[in-house]
Amino acid sequence: MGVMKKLRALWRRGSLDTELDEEVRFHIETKSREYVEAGMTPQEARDTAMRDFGRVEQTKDECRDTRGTQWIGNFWQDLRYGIRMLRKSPGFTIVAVLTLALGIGANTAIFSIINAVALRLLPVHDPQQLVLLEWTARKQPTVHAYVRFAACPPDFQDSPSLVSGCSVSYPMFEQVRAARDVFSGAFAFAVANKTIKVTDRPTQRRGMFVSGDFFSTLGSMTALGRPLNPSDDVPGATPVIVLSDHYWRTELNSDPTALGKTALINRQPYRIVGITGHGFPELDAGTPIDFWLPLVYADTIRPLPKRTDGASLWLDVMARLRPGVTQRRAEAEINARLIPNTTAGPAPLFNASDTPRLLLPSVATGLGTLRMVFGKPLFVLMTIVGLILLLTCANVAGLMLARASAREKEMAVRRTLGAGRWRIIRQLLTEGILLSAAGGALGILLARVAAKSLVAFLSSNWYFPLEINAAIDGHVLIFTIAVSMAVGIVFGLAPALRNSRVDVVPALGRGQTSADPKQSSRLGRALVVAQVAISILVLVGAALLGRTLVNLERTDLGFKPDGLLLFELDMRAGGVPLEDPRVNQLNQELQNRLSDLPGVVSASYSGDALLAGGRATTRVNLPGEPPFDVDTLAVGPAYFETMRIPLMAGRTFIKGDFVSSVKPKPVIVNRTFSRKNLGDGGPLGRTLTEAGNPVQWQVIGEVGDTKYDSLRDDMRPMIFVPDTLPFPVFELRTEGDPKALISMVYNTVGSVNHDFVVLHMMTQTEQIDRNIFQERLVAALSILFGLLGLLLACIGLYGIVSYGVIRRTHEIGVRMALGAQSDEMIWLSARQGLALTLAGIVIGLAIAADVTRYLGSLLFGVRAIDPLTFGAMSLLLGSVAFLACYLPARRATRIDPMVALRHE
Amino acid sequence: MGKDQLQGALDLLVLKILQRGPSHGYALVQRIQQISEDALRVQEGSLYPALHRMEQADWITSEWKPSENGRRAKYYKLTAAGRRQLEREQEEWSRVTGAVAKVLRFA
Repeated sequence: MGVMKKLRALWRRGSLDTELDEEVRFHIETKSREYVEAGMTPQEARDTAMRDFGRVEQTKDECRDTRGTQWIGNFWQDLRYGIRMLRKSPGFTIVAVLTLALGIGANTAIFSIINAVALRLLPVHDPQQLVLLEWTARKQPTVHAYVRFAACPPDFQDSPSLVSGCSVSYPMFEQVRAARDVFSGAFAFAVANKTIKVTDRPTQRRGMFVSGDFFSTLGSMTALGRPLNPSDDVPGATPVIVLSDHYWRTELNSDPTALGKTALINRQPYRIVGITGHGFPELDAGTPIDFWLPLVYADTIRPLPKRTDGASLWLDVMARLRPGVTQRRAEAEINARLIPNTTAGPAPLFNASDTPRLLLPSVATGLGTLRMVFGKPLFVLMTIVGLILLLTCANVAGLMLARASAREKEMAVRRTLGAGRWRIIRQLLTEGILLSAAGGALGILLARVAAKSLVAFLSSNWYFPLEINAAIDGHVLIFTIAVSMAVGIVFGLAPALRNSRVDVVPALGRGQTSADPKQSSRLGRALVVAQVAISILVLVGAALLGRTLVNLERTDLGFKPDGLLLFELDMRAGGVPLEDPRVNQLNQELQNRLSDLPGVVSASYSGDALLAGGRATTRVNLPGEPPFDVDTLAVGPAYFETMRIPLMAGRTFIKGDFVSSVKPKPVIVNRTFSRKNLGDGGPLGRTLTEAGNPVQWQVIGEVGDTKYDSLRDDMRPMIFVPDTLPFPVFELRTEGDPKALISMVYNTVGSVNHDFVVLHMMTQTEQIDRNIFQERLVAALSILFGLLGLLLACIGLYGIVSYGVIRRTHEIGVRMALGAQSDEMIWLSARQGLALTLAGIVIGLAIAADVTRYLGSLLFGVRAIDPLTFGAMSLLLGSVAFLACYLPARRATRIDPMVALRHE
Repeated sequence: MGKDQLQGALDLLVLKILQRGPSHGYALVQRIQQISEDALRVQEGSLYPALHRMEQADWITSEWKPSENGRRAKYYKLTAAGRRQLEREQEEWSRVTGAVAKVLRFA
C-alpha cells in the first residue's frame, strides 16, 4: 500500500507539486482577502498573511518530504546542477576526468588480466564441483617416469616439509573413475606437444591425451561433429581426433568438409570426428589446446612412459563431486581406497612411513599455471597501479578543494536560500561521483587498449602464444564501478564537508575569501605532500627496476649476440627417431647447406641455445679426485667461430672430433673451468672421466667464458663436448638482418627432408629478450607509471599554486601597488608549493628506504637503497616541481595592480 | 512544548476536528484558533506538513472541491483507520494529562 503510494507519487511528481502550490496559495489568498475586508491595503494584507503562514518554501519542502520520494527528485536536481557547474569550469573538468580515467583505467586493465588468469571460473557446467587429484608425502615417490605439464595448487598449511604433485598413474585414475558413489564423473588428461599434419604443412601444436569421459564430464560439447566418448578409448578402437576451433580456422581455413579427413601424428592417421567451438574451456587459463586424442594412443605416439604402468605418474585427473558429497568426504573415501595400493606391492610408489595422502583441491578456476608464473609481477603491478590511483584521487581532491574555496560565496548564497547542510554535502558528493563516473567510463575504454597491449607483450615473450582473454566481463565491470564510486565519494567528501560548514555572513561580506591560505587548506596541503611522496616512491621503484634492466642488457655475454639466427630442428616427423645413426650426418649436411646460403657467414649447431633457459649438467672427476657436477654443452663444428667465442688456448673442434669411435673424446673447457679445476699445469692435455662413461675425455682447447642459461648468474665452469644431437639448435651468423633469411632457411631444411619441423625460429637478441622478459615488463610498466605519477604530482602542485595566486590576487595587487618587486611576489606565491614539495620528497624517500627491499630478487646490479638513484629521482622531481610552482607564480607578477585591487 | 509533543497534539486536534466533517487546511486553522480562543497560535504553515503526513499514513484522504469563495480547495476527510487513530490518541492524551494532574496534586 505504502509502496504503491510512493510509486504514484514519483510518477505524478510534477502534478503533485502543482497541487501543493495551489493548496498553499489558496490558504494565503483567503487569509489576505479577510485582511482586506478588515480594512488593510492589499499589499499589507498579503504581507501579513504571508507572515502568519510562516516560511512558505520550507513548509512546501516539508510537505514534499512526507512523500518519501523526495530524494529522487533531489538527486536529479543535484545531477543537473552538478553537470552545469562542471561545464562552467571546463579546464578543471577535463583535467580531472582525464587523470581519473588514467588511474581507474590502469587499475581496471591489470585487474582484467588478473581476472582472466586467476579469478574467472571455467566456462563449464557447474565448475564448483570440479576437483583435482593431488598427492602429498614426506618424500618423492619412487617412479619409472614422472611427467609434469601444469601447475599444482600448493595450498596445504600443514607442513612446509611435504612434497606434492598432481601427476598420478593410470591405475590410480581407474580407481577414481570406479568410485561412482563419490564422483559423478572423472577424466584423466596429459598434455603433449606434437607435430600434426592435416594439410601439407606440419606444425607443432599443443594437444591433450584424454580419457573417454573427458567431454561428457566437463559438460562441454563440440560445435561440429561429435566429441570423444568412452568407446574411442579402448584398445583396438578406430583412431580418432578432435580439433580445436582455432586450429580449424587458422590451419584448415574453416574448411566445412574437414570432418572425416585424416590428421597425421608421427605418420599415424587419426580420423577427424569433431571440431570444438569458440570458447571451449581451457583447463589451464591462457594455454589453449589444439587437439584431443584418446588416452589409449599415448603408447603408440611415444613409447615412454608406459600408459598402464602403476609406477609411471604422467596423468592429471579431474573429477566432478556427486551432488551432496562434500570435498572432505570424497577425500576420505579416496584415501581409503587408493593409498593402500600405493604403498603395497613389489614396486610401491611410497613407503608407508612417508605418510602419503591424497587431496582434492577445487579447480573451479582451472589449473592456474599462469597464475603461479605471473603471480609476482602482476602483484607488483597491481600495487604500483593502486598507488597511482591513490595519487589520482589525491590530485583531484586537491583540485576540488582549491575550486571549493573559490565557490565559498556560491555555497553561502545557497545556505541563505534555505538549503540544509546535508543538501550541500549531497550536491558536492554528486559532483564528485559525476567526475568519477565519467573518468570510470573513459577508463574502461583505456583499459581495453592497455590490457590488449599488455597481453600481446606477455604473449610475444612466452614459450607458446598465450591466449589470455582479458575481456571486460561482469567481474571487471563491478570492480571498475566500485572503484569509481569509492574514489568519487572519497574526493567528493573533502570539499563537501568543508564547504557545508561555511559561515554565511562572513563569506558573503568578505570581498575575497581567506587572505591567508593557512586557515582553509590544511587538507589541500596534506594532499599535495601525499602526492609528491607517492610520486617519488614510484619514481624510485621505477628507476631501480630500470637500472636493473640496463645492467642486464649491458652484461658481458662472452659471445656476440647480434646477427645470429636461431632455430630448433625436430627430425622425428621426418622418420628420423632420436637414436638413429643418420642424425650426425644429417646435422652436418644441413650445416653445410646453411653455410652456403648467401648472407650467412657461418653456421653451427648445439644442444641448447645460449640464454634460452636450458642447461645440461653432468658428473665428472679428475684422476684421483672426487667427482663434481659441471655444466656441459654439446656442440657441432664451427660453434665457437659462429658464436664469436674467443679461443684462449689449444684449438677448436674439427670434423674428425665428431667421429663417435674417437678415443679419448676431445673436449673444450672454458676459462673459469681451467682456473677453478685445472689449477696449475694448464688445461691442455688434461683428462677427465664422465660418470658412467667408459671413454675418457681429453681437453684440447680453452675458450673464453660465456653465460649459459641465465643472464643473472655469474659465468660458470663449462665443458663443451662434440656430440650427435638428435634435437639440435642451429645458429647462423649472418651479415645484415638475420630475419631476412627466414624463408630461405625453411626451404633449405625442407630440401634435406620436407617433413622436418622447424621450431622457435628467432634471433639471438629476441631469445635474450625472452630470457629477461619479466624484468622488461616490470621495468617498462613501472617507468610508465613513474612518469604518470610525476605528471600527476606536478598537476597537483600547479593547481594549488595557481589557485593560491587567484585567491590572493587582491593582496598581491595591494603589495605591488605599495612597491613590492616582482621577484618577491614570485617567491611569495611559489614558496608554499616548494615547501610542500620538499616535505613530500623527504617523506617519500623515507618510505622508499623501508619498502624497496621487497623488490629484492627482481633487482640486478643495484642495491635496494641506492643513494645515486634516490638522489637522482629527488632531483628530477624537485626540478619538475620547481617549474610547476614557478610558472603560476610568475603569473602573479603580471597582475595589473589596478585590476587586482578591484578583484573580489 | 517540544516539537514532537506539539506535533502529536496537532495530529489529535486535526483528527478531532475532521471527525465533525471534511475540511480544508485553512478552515482547520480557523477552527483551532476559534475554539481555543486564540490560545493555540500555531504557525499556520505547520499544519500542512502534518496534513500531508497523515494522508501518507492513510488516516485521512483528500479531494479537490470548490470552496465557499468559489475557488477550489483541497478538502480532507477522516478514514476508518483515522477514526481508530483518533481514539488511540485521545486515550493517550487522557492518560498523560491524568498522570500530570496526579503528580501536581500529590507531589
